[in-house]
Amino acid sequence: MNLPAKDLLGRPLSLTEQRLLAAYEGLKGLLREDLSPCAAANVKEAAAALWQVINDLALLSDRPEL
Amino acid sequence: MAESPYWNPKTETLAREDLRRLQGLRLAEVVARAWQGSPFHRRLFEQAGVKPEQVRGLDDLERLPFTTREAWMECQRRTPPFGDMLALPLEHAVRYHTTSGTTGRTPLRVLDGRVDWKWIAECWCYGFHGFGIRAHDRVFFAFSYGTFIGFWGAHYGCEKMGCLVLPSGNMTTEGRVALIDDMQATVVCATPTYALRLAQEARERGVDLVNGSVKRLILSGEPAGSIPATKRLIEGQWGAKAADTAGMTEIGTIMMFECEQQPGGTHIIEDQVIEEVIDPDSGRSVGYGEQGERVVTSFGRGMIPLVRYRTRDLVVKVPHTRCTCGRTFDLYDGGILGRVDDMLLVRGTNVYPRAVEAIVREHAAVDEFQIHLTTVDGIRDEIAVRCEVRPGHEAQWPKVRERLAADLAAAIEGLSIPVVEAARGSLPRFELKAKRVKDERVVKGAGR
Repeated sequence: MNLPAKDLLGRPLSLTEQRLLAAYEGLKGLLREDLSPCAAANVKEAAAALWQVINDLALLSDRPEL
Repeated sequence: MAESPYWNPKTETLAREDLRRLQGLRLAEVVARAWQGSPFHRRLFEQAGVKPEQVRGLDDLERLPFTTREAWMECQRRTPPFGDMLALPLEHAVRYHTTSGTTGRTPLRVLDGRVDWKWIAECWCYGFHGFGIRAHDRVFFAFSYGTFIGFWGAHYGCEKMGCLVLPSGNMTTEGRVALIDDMQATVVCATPTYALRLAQEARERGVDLVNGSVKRLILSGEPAGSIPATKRLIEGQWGAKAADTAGMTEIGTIMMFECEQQPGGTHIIEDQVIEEVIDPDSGRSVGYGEQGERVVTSFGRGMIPLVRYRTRDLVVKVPHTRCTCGRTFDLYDGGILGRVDDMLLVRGTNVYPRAVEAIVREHAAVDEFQIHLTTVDGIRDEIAVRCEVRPGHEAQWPKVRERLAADLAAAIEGLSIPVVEAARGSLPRFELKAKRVKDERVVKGAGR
């Protein structure tokens, strides 16, 4: 998975920001798997919550359809 | 970092040029999403001759057409119940809300998805955190939790922050005062009018608010939260600091909040929305310090992208330097100052006189009518519809009155609107522009 090295404003991502982005992409990856109802619903919730962080910190242009 | 006075230190203190760049990127995204998913928006953009690829930054904002509430309601009327504005399929929705309609009994209907609700709550977090509210707080909501969106997002925002949330949907005012006291709430969220009503009830019950647990009030739903005299009255009666916020069902959340410095204005959450101020007649932008109409573009709602929406609210924008808190978000001086149109705000609920008239006129027994607004006990907005009964309809009147009151409540977010009989010939008649609103309130919810 290739993650961007800079945020939307062109600033280098901090280590924490890189980890947040990786966690978000990881959750989105999980949603492509065949999950049980409890897993699917809760991973969607988690992905939506982490999208909010990605959006707040301007790390990525993305809008997941959850 | 956890002790930051800012909910989002990265964007709340961005240099203005970076903030503008971020807004431009997000504008391009929201326009692309609206074009791709929403026939309503694509139609508007096509009529204006704009394509998404032409919108690359904030300088392109004025190429885009305005969105109006009338057009939104019209699209819902043509293809009920949600119109063709939605940018995502219906199955993405997790919640339904409404706000009262402008012209009749049909409300404006909104839908939001899972991601939208995260964003709605997030915007409230900017405001709560910015006013000093933290995880240890106990936050009481004087809110009915119905289809009116009101403080729903604030509730979720506080849960997200880790606060103890105290809901009071089905409670009487007496019960609410008792709960605030019993649970030692530290924050109360209410409309300004209801904050005063709670204080009155507390006095009557012998509850000492001034020396009590509540240290902060979050006010919303009426412009009075930024009127200095009203705010002083509320703060004095509660012995607490009060902050104004303002939001709207059309974006689902707040777009401005007052910070702890209480600079006499509300910061615009400029990393999540674009707020323009225009001359309501010409549609042209006005500068800092000039009064005009708010126009909002919201980045966070996926199901309902909102691009250049004319709010009809009157505001005066001032630069961020007016405040010493360090945020680079500009402010609205004195919050929302009034309305361009004739909408009335009654206890936080939007009332359009045209909508009232449309319902009243369905009843042939009503000869003439007047919408009468008063202030009761010096604090509480009351609204009544006074009707002259048409000669020959006296026998039906008791049933008509009951039906009319029920119809009005159903159309206007459950607001209780008594229907009162007026003596024959007592209400004014009009030959030209009718003025059927008699507003005798001490502080008018829709202006000052």
